[in-house]
Amino acid sequence: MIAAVHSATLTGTTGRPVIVEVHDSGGLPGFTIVGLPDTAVRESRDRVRAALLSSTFAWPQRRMTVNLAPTAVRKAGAGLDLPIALGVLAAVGDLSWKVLEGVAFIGELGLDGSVRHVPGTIALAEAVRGHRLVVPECDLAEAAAVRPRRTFGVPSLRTLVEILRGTHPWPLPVTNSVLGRADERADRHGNGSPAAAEQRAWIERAVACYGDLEEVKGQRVGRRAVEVAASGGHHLLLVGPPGSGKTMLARRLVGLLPPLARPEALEVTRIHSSAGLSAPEGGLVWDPPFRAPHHGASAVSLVGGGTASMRPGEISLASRGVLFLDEMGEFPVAVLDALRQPLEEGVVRVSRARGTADFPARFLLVGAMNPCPCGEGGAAGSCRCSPAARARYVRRLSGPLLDRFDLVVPLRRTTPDELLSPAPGEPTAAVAARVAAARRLARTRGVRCNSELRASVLSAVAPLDSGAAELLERSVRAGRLSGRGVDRVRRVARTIADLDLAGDLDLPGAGAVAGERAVAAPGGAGIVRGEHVAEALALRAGREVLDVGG
Amino acid sequence: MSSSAPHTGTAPRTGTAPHTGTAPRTGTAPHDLPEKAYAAALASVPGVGPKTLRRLLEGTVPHAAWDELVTGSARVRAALRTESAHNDARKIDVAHVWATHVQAGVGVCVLGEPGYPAALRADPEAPAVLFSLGSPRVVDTAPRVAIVGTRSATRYGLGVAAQLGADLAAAGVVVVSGLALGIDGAAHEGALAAWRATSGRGEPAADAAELSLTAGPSGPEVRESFPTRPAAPPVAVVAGSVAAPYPRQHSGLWRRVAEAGAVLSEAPIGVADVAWRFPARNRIIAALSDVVVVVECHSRGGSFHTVQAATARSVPVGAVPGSVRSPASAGTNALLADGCFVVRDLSDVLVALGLSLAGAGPGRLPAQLPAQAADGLPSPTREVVGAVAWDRRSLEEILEQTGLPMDTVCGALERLRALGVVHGEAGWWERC
Repeated sequence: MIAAVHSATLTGTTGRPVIVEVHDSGGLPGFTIVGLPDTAVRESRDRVRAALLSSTFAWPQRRMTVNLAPTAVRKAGAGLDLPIALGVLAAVGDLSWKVLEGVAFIGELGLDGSVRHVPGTIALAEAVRGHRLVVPECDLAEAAAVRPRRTFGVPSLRTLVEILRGTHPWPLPVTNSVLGRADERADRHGNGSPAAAEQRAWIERAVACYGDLEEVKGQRVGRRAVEVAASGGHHLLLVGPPGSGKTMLARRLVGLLPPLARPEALEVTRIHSSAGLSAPEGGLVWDPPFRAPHHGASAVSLVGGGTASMRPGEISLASRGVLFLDEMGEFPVAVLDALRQPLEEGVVRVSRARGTADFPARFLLVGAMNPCPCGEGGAAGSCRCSPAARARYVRRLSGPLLDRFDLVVPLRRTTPDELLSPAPGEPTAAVAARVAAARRLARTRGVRCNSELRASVLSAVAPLDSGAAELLERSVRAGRLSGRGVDRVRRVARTIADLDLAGDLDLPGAGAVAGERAVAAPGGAGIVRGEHVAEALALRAGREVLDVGG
Repeated sequence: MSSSAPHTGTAPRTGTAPHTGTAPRTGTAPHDLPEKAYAAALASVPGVGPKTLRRLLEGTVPHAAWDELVTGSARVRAALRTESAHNDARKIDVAHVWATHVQAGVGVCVLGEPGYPAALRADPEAPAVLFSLGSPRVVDTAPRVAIVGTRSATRYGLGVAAQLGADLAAAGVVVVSGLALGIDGAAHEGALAAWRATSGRGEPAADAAELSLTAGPSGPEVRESFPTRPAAPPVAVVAGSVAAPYPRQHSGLWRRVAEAGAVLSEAPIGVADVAWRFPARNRIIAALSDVVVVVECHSRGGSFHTVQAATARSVPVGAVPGSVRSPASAGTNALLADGCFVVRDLSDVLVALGLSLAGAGPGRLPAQLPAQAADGLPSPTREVVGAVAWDRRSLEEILEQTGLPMDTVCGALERLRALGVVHGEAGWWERC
């Protein structure tokens, strides 16, 4: 007899539907799995056998063939254990094949017959739309985030079989608390207050996890740089001696980013779940991620890939959040250069002989490095490195990669006075409010943040006053700014001008929206002044530290 | 190319050179090469440093010394520390070494022979063989002042070095330096700028300095007045071969110095730029110079090798004072505390040289903008310029001091930059 069970498998971060066919025939007892299974799938034979026996079913002493269709797709992971077990039961007649129709199953089996967590559940759940879906109980929240109805969680194979036989009732689709929370989040952009509550909750979590910006003493330039970076989505490189607070600033930048909107949260959850990171309570990842790989990282761990399965790399795990590369000068050159294409396109395509996977990689890159091997450079004359050693160190960052940074900020050590000063800096919550307002202004221009503004629209959305135009021209003529740099400075200046306006637009409700429209309209108050350009130039002055031996 | 090489000794040797008959030649070296070829070959032997080379050439001529080295005479064995030099010498093809130097246009002078700079001749550690690009004769045409200092110089140091180089060259003083990055390069650039202005390539400077040469403060005054005296060319003394510019960034400057004056070295073509050659080079700079000026150096910098060598030769050492907060001036300030004379401008150096200057004009570099430009500015700009000091301040400090928002301060700084009142680089700002 033949039984067919619907399921899905994971390629990269995408689920693909799979049909598990089990054929039972006479002959020498045996169990074969065909259809491009990987090692984990091949090993499922032993798990399925033990799980069936533990669940008081018999293991058929017959010739069983399992085919995973479509055969051209590679099957990875242990999520196919449950459908294989059900297929075996149906093929030998322990279970009616009719009850399996219209239902898809995902789950790894334990030897005791329990149904266990499967990575990438959210992507798998999306792949089997149109079916009822049975997932491990622990993955129910995650699956329900994309399909709240007709999704069920089961604790064990025995319970599932009893449900299918009709001797046990179907569990409630989704617990009320989980669904309620998901629904509340779904329409949180409907009016102002839930979004504000959401933001407050996120800032609290971020402060607890990454620290508050008020703990950064002094460093007015550095604090301003993270504010501008968060507002405009501008990639940020912090250049300063050890002890200048580079890492502190980078970590606190995450808290300034707004919490993720639903489509972004789905995307991030899909990546994190596929990589096997545990999902938070409630199923979806709503917090912008912060990833800080060590400089020993390989190109594959950063970009994604791997031999066994296509696993998303750090840049994808940091998508919609912050990728922080500390000690950037210590990363191998080849690893850093692998970032260039994803930085440009927001997606990374990993190609291997066995297949190709596209991973989202829309991250905010924050780098930190010393100006030279001794760390004291920047203040010319105080550095003891030979010019050749400095040039070697700085050359680790290729010109094209350096060009991706809109903000290259020189930091200096905090003075003892600043360190001992009892006065706290501005807290994260206050800065985040300005960032949110600036990002709302950016959205009126049809982009998520100003770094996405195309060069062709700059003169329309970021008009320069005479002082700003003059300053840009002077900087280009003096060789301090390249032609490519001009557009980057204009985007950053736009963000700085937006932050300026954000203070004035601090009105509640609809008044703010009207104000934003008026400001963002062509010829509105949103003009970029010379001061804004000057500040944007000051926030990339660190490039001059890195231009050595020229 | 080789025909334009500035040597006098390229003619085949006629065999009349004194043959002291110490040992029979072993026959591999051809006999029609000039003495200079053997001198270059001796300098090329690995393990033969400046001291050994002097001992080898003492009281004999290069080809004889070479023969002794190849055959391994007792005198040579005593002079050499290792046996390997003796074996290494056998592998060297004198004709090839000579051809390499001729092709690269590198001149060779041997101590004690005509063409060797007189200024170096009497020095106890003078290089036995000197390689040159350009004309080494310019060394003896005028007084010489060495301008040395750190490679990681501040803008202040670079500015002073360039100005001093230009002023000295315009006053007819040969500027000697090492073609390194930082102070050395700035001094050469300054000297070249002044030299170009009077060398006929540009129009002669109208206000060319009149130089008065005196025998000393109290001695009889011998006035030699040159109303349109040309500026002196620069001279560089380098550690590696004169045909291998190092650092690469200075290869253009290297060529221009060689065209105007001379680039000298005791290293033949093909030797590695090993570390000991740099301090060894510094002793030649000190030996060549009548006065050594340190513009900027750290508390333990390479410039101290030059200073030590100069002190050992009783060459006066001057230092340019700097901010006590600047690490790049720590060394020079320490020198001043130890009793070196203070160098503020050209006249301080000329006094030390025993020269006096009549009608010295301003330097040939573009004059700085007057500081008065900062006065009478509108409000935020005035506060900002007050916070920018003559030594370097970070933007952070300026923000701190003014208490103004960052965009206001940055806008004011850029306006001041446009006026030429302040200079900003890499987040550091200073008055200029």
